[in-house]
Amino acid sequence: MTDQITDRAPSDPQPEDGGGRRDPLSMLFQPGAWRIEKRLVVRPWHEFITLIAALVAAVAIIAGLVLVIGKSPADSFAALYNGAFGTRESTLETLVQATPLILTGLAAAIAFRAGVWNIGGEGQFFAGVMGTWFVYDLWGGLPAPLLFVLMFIFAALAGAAWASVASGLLVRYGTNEILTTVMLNFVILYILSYLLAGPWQSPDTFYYQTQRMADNTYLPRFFSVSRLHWGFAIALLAALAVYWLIRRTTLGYEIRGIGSNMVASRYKGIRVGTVTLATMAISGALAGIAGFGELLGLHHRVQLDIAEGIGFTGIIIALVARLHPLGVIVAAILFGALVNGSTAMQYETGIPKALVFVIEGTTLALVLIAAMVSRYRIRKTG
Amino acid sequence: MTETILAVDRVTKRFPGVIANDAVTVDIRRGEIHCVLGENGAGKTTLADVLYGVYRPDEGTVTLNGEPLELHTPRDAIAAGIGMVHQHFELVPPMSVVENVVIGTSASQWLDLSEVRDRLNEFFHNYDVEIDPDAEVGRLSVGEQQWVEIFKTLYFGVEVLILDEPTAVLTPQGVQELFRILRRMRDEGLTIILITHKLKEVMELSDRVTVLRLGKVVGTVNTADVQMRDLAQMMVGREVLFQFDKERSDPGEPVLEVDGIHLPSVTGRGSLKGLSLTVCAGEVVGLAGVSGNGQNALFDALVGVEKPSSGDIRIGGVDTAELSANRIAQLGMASVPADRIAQGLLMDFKVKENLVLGRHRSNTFSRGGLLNRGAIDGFASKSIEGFDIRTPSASQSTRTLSGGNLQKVIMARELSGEPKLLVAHQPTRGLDISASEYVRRRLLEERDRGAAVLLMSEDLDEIFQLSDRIAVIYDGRIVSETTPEQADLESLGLSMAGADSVDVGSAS
Amino acid sequence: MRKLMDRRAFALVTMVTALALIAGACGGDDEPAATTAAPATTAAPATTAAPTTTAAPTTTAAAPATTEAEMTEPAEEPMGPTELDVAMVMLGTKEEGWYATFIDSVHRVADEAPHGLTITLEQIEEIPYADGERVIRDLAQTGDYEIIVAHSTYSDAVAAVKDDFPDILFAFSGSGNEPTGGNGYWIDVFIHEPAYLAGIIAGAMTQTNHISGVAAFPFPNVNGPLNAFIDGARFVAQQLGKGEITFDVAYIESWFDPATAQEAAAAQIAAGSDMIYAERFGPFAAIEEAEGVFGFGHFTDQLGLSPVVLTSAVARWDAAFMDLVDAWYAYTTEGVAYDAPMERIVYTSMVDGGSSLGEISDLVPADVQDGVAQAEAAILGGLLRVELKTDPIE
Repeated sequence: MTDQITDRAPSDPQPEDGGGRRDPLSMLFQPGAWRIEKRLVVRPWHEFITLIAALVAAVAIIAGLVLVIGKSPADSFAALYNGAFGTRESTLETLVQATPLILTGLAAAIAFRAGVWNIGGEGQFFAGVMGTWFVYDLWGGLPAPLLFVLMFIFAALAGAAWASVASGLLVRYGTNEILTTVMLNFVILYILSYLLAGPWQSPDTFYYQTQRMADNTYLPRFFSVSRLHWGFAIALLAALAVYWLIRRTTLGYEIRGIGSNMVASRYKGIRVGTVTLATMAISGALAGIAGFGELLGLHHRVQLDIAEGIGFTGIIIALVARLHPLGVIVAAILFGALVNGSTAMQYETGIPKALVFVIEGTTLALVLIAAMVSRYRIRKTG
Repeated sequence: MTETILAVDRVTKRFPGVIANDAVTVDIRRGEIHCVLGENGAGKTTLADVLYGVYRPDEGTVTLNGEPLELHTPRDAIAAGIGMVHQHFELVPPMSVVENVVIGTSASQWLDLSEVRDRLNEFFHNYDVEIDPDAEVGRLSVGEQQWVEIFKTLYFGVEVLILDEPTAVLTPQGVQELFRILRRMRDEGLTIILITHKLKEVMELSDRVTVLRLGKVVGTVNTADVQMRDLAQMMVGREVLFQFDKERSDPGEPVLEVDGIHLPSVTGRGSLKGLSLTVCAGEVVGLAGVSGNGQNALFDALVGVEKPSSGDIRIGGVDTAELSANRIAQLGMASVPADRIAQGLLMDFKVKENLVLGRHRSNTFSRGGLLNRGAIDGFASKSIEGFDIRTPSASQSTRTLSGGNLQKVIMARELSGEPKLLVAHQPTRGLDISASEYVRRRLLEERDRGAAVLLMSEDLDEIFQLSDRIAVIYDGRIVSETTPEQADLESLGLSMAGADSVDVGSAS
Repeated sequence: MRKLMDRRAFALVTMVTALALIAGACGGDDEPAATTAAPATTAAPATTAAPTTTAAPTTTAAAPATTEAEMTEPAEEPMGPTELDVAMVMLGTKEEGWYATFIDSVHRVADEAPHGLTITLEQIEEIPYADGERVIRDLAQTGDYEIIVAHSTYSDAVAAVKDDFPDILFAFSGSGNEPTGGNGYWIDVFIHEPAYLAGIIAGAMTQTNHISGVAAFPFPNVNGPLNAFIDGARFVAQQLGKGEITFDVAYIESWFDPATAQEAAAAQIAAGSDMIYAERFGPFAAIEEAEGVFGFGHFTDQLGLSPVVLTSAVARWDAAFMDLVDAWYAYTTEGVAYDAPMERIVYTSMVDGGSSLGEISDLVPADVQDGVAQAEAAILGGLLRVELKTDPIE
């Protein structure tokens, strides 16, 4: 009877084209021959090796691009390195660049740990800037220490409040936080443009900006030769605090819990909504503190252009750091070095700015790909 | 009927850190039903995947009809005449039966659907199966979907059919129907390889059986020559208790009282339509039923993540309507969810962190918002020892644990607080014999300690083994109650299938 | 048509006479406070900026102005420097008009080789505002550059860096934030005079008596030429008896947004405008699609950019840059301290060399061109003074 069935079935679905389809290349991609599997456990050396591989690939691609435009790769990399770490000044400047990125990176990392996609670091950064200026504008005459404390608190609160708009909508109505945080970035910039063209605009200039703040509100600097200011110390402390929060506190446990498995967390009595709100408030506060540091440490006046993607870069930093608070420090410094070194590369070797963007983008993309790849392995099954 | 159709010769398949198949040698004869029996992790599915072209063996050969097999993909296997029906069906629910059959063929070829339909009708008629070839697959019952999978492989003209744990999703009646068809197919010359860990099925259905343990063949025997007990010994390597020496229960006060609760199906986890149930201290109530009849909804309502639209749930006399999941747990309720990985554990967490999940805010494990790491470590090492959780360390990532050990983590966590009420949903699903035995013994120990235990299971043997009372859930209600002594498999199966006119007695 | 031309030719002659009268009337007017430094001293024949109101007459722009002529020969001395490396930091790309005109000026000055110097220019593009201080500091630290030029939004950055590098001359150009003094020079050019001449063409040629401007922000640097453009148009229309000219301006709130600028121009054309002053890139695309509508270029000579362009008001930084070179040279060779005025040094007029009228299209009738030429001569000769109005246009 089986034979009967066999007889009546088409002897083979692909008698003719079956042979032609089997070329060596397609064999390589056949699911049975090669397998891509998720690793159960990603060990540090997996990550390290893929990271090294990514950097090697980045160097190779950049060298190729540099060769194409007729420059020397060796000179270019030397300029890149020297621009980032070549002198004491450049090294310190790299840390200056890293300072806000550590904070916005932490902001993204803690939210992502909870599985909340806060893409609003940029807007929360500006909320922090505005909170700082608000205090200065209102109580600028207060003694400096008190003023600093007030500005810091208001910056954190403003960032937290702005993030809470999105998390409130998420918890109450289930509104997708990616959409709301992205849109709130625009909203706050419009509010700020209005303020800068109106009530906050400096009477001295025609640009949309505030007055320059008084010297006594500048964050002190560590060295006379460098712009490195106390904001860097604040950022380092924040990283330690976030690390401690995530590892040691019950709230941190719950943040990781809802990020790891929201359903199981709910079944085991964790209040997912409350934890989400708390996480976003902390995340927003960190981005707000970044705004505080940049305003008082570097720019000293509010301007629409003082962020330049600091919030968005924080997201990349968090991902590169695998959402680890201490890894964020390393990633932020590496990114600061890339920014700092690539400018030097531009004027030392005459590489056009467009290519500098390509170099920055290529490096980041490869490092991110490495982060993904390290979680998988490819195995030949045949 | 002794001609070998498929010969597996010293096949070895290694995965990093594991030898899934270690020099496995089996010969499958034409026209037999050959069971491959073994505990989870014994290498059964790996062997099936090797035969079906999913994996290629690292060593050894497979020959079909004397010809060496070179399989790169399942497509090659089908072309060679080997088909497989997986535990998880590979069907497209919104498409019709006919279309699902066609979809497996080469898409570039134009196919006459009416011809396919005629052939399917012929198959179905041949095997006394009533399925409309134009029915939408998503609307078919699980059993019918399984038949579609089987007939799909027949359509391709396979000589050898591999079935991986086919009865896991079926009611007792469905199992009988499947077996009837498989026997018919065997009689008509098809060779059937059945992967299973259920001894009863092996005894009932197979001609011969090969037992695997830890990737190695323990032996191949004629089913007629052995007893179930012998197979069990071969499987686990020691003697197995099939009957627990269960003392008669001495039920105390009601601990869980569920009174006419309704829960609409909003989350896609079924609905409850006036379910009432009582579980007393010191007894195990077994809730039998085919999955999808409200078990998930009941679990959610008891745990407190969903609130009934009407009716009461009282635990120890306290109405839980206004209580959060956390507060309900504090009333002394412990729960073992059906899906350990999705509902019970944080797989990214360390083992020790999972052991305190839910109690991490208690005074035992935290102080002033800080985790008390000393207490957690101490509790973890005690639990790992007490529950025999096989893990290199308490700080190991939970993800690396095997299914049985994951369940032990949950059991350790849930039983540590000496709960008054334990709700266990499918606590042994997917576990091998030793792990299942362990879990069942713990449940009885809880009963003997005086806890009220509600056991929701689709495994009737388990229900019979452990329960003091049996309730049957169908369509969101309890349709009958009985005791293991009074009940018989057949009437219980009818009850589970919705024949609620049948009253098999009441024990409350 | 012939008749009209005759009338127009006649009117233009009377117009020029009238211009002379206005010039006399305006002569004693005070100037806008923020834009001093720029002279009304049209008598000076040399193409130099001679600030009349600066506090320090011996240094800054004034000093080099006097030394320039004398220095050309001593520069051959072996003692003095032979090379001058200039770095320029840009917010945008070097193709943008604001930077392109400056770069052109640097090259023209370099060709002249003042003091016998070989001048090189390093261009650093697309540096965000927030990165200004870092990049400027970086450039200064290399020690490779003697003059670093930046945009005025970087004035905060220059203020923060300049004291650490006292030997370097810093400059920033534009409407600006704040003066820094010392070695931080704030320079600017106004091009309202050529814009006024462009306005004469617009006023003479408009058929609808409706002219427009598409501009960035209501900033003084932007408003100056727009106001002058409309003044020129209104004046000539009045002379020709064409009646009241309607003028509107669209601020697109961006320094570079051709799409929005194009849309704004299209809207203005739809509203009846037929002469459009393109303070930003973009309007020409809309003008090309319309009949009988013409455009005017701004800052760079844009005649070649589109057939609808009649002429352009062109900025020139030659004098400003030459003054910077002189100041640096005086500091380097003679130790004359850098002493930038605590205000903007504006190269206001065509006489200063801060601006000029670009090439005029053949589409402009000869008599109109003659009128423009007369007016240009009047400005250069000091007979006509174009008032600088920096208020936004309603």
